[in-house]
Amino acid sequence: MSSASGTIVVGRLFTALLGAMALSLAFAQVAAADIQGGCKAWAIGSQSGSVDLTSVSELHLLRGDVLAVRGLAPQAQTRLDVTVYLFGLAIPMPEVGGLHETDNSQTQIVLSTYSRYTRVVDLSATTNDCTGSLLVSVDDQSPILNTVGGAGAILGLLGLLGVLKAAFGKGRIGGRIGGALAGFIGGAGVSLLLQQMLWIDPRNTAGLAPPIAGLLLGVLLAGTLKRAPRAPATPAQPVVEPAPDPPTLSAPAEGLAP
Amino acid sequence: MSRARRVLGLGAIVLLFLAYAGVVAVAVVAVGSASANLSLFLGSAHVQKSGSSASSVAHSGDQLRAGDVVRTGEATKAAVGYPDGSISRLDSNSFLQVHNLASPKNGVWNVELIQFGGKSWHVVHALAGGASFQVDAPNSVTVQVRGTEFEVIVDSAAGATSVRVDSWTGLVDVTARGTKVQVSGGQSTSVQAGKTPSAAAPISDADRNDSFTVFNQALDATRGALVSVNGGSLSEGQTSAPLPAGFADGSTDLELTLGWPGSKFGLTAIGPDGTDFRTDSSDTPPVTMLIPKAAAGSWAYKVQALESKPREPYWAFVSWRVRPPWEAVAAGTYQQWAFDHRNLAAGVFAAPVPTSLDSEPLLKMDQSALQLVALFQKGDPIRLIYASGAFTADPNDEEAYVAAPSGPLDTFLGIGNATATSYTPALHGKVMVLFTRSGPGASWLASNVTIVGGASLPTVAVGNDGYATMVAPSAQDHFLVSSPDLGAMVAADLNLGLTGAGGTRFPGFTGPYIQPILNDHQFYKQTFNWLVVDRYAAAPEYTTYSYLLADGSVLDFVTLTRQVTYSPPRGGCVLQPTPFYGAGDYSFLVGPPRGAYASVSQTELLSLAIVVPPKASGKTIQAIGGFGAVTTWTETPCSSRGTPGSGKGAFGYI
Repeated sequence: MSSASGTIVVGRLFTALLGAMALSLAFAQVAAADIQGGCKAWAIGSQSGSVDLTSVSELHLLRGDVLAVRGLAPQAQTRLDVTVYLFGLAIPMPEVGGLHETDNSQTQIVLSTYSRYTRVVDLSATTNDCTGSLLVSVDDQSPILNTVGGAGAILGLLGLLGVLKAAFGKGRIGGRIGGALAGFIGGAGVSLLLQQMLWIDPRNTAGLAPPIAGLLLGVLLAGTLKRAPRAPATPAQPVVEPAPDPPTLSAPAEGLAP
Repeated sequence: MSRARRVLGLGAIVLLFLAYAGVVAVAVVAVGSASANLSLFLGSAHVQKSGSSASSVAHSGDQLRAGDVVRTGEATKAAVGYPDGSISRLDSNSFLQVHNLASPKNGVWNVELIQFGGKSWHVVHALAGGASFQVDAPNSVTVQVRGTEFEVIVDSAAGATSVRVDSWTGLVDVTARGTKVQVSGGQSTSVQAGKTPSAAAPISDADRNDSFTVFNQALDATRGALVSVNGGSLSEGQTSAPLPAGFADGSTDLELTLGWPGSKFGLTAIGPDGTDFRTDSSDTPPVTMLIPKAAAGSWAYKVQALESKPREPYWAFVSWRVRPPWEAVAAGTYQQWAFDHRNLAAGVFAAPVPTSLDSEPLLKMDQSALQLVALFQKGDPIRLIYASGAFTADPNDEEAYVAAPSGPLDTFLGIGNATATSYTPALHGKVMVLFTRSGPGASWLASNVTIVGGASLPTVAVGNDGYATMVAPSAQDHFLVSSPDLGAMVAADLNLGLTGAGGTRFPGFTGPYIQPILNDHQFYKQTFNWLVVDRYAAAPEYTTYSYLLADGSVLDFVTLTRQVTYSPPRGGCVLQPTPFYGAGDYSFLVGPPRGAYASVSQTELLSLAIVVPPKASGKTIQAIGGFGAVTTWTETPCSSRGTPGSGKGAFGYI
């Protein structure tokens, strides 16, 4: 195949990427930016100061912060559902129970205890009357030197190596599935890292774009680098033993007859 | 199949690897490129993102990154908060670019701003080593600071642009055309086009009385979460219309703060029933009125110009003050520690923990004192503190410090002469109790503090004119002022002292600042070799109180937090409670329940009473007492039956 087939490959790549983006954006949603339903909440960071969470959608803290969160509700809230967002998908947390009171003061949170695991957390909470969401970022925590970011980087690298391996494969169905899986894992890893860097909002389904793109690329690239099959060996010519010179006294023949 | 396909596949994979490497590289350095947080108090603003020619309407909570520009509209007040806690506030029609916002290493931030026009007011957090805060302005002006509060005014009203820098607190270096002028608190310099900075001179009255100055100085006095801002102007005798203060839920402290240029203004809180709840007035701005657990319902307030020039500007702030939830944790921990200590003293370490403290002498003592404290009212003269329990008081020689007459008694130091009858022979001397509570009706958290030898107690004399005015010791009208930066300064000094380096106000471990109380813990210093890693930081949730004393010193109550790790070497374990207690009422305060742990990392709350002498006295700061409580902790289990080591180690106490 020539340049025409190359164009087709490039076209497939672009189609895959655009498809992933379009798919993500089609489902893109950003959670509400404040608290609804008459509840109020404040966060007090020992270094970052106090923030009225009622009207703020992002809370930026420092690793040295000790965070106290206080919530006020118009009436006792007996239900509390917490959801964590990842790749734009809502992941419900196990039920943590209700507040049973109108003034709930949570135990203080030592940020450094948790920032080693993740730099960015995006969560929403729903009680009987109120809903709210908040993106929490520990600004001076390295996006990669924490558990989630580090795992993302490692997954990204492993995925890339998997895609590379699939590309050197034969490009058969098994190889393409392997490439797709590796691409998906690698894309998911990169997406995790980008979410830790806040390049992608964890509430936004755009976070699905890298794994989907990785999946499609894994499929498309499988076998593209496979080694060309060796040219089949030229069939050995039958060795013709030169015929012994005929015992003749005449002059040698000019040539051999076929 | 082609070579072309192979080339394209290879190219795609190479691109993927390069993209991945780029993302990882950015992630590695990304900690140095955080964002600044935009807050809009009033009006409107637009933000132009870096690399974009279009600007969009800004909202509170928007994040500004390096290169972003914010422009405020008419009648606007906005603020940009940086990760290190520093803040830039913007007046109307101001134009500021966050030029650079980087953290070359953890905890150190470099902030570089460019101000193209308008007024900006900067409150710079005490900068760590290597950190910087810089504002560039027209006329080649560069303003560099290290922990201060200053204003930059770019004035183009008269045609040619001039830049004026007012330093309200601390030192500021102003450089233009190669000439640097250092401006200290209360001074100003200006730079005309093509000129060098003028010599430092006092800040002009026009700038002191400027509405933006009033706004910032009043906002500095606000402690709670800001709910609303109102501004206006009044002439003498005028009263504003009632202004909304929000809806109280009955369990939150309502805070009203009023600022004005001078003269005499009054602030009246109007309760949900529509009647005047309380009025405070002063001839020294700002005034902060705290209404603990404001009654449920809709509150309002009004402002009165009692003695003023025509149309004096004022700014009023409504905020909620949230009590730190760890107060309750601290109280519980303290009580746990108290009866653990009592059990140890009684040799009943292995006995079950009692469920009640009713029979404990410490509790009785505290209860007695608290009952007395509860009797304090506005304008009360000095009263008796200790009366019963294990102590008897000397009724003819009592001293006490009382909190603000108009505020809640939420931090309170009592000092008295007492005789401890439980000892043989009975001990006579001064005793001190440090009290904290979340507001009227809430439980008091009390701690007796031993006053150690050499710590001279200041004469009780508190002025009603703030820091600078001396008053007669007999004055009964006690007054409370606030030093919001004191906690950070004391924490920084303590951290330096713990390294042995010493600070400007704090000469180190061997100095008089903490040595008097450290002496009480020499016993421990000789006994333990635990690795202690700690770091003090301010606890801004607690207001710092300052009292002017008769000799010009200031008695401060400041609350700090400390991260501390107890980690015995050689497989040793931390015991809770420690059996190593001295003759006094001291013991290690460890958060986890009774048991043995390989290590304990905990956050401690430390309330200090310190005396800051006048600068001219040549004396150093003296700590006269303190109270500690553990608020949170993590622990690792003990893998062996270890014991604390026996060598010496770097271990310090306040």
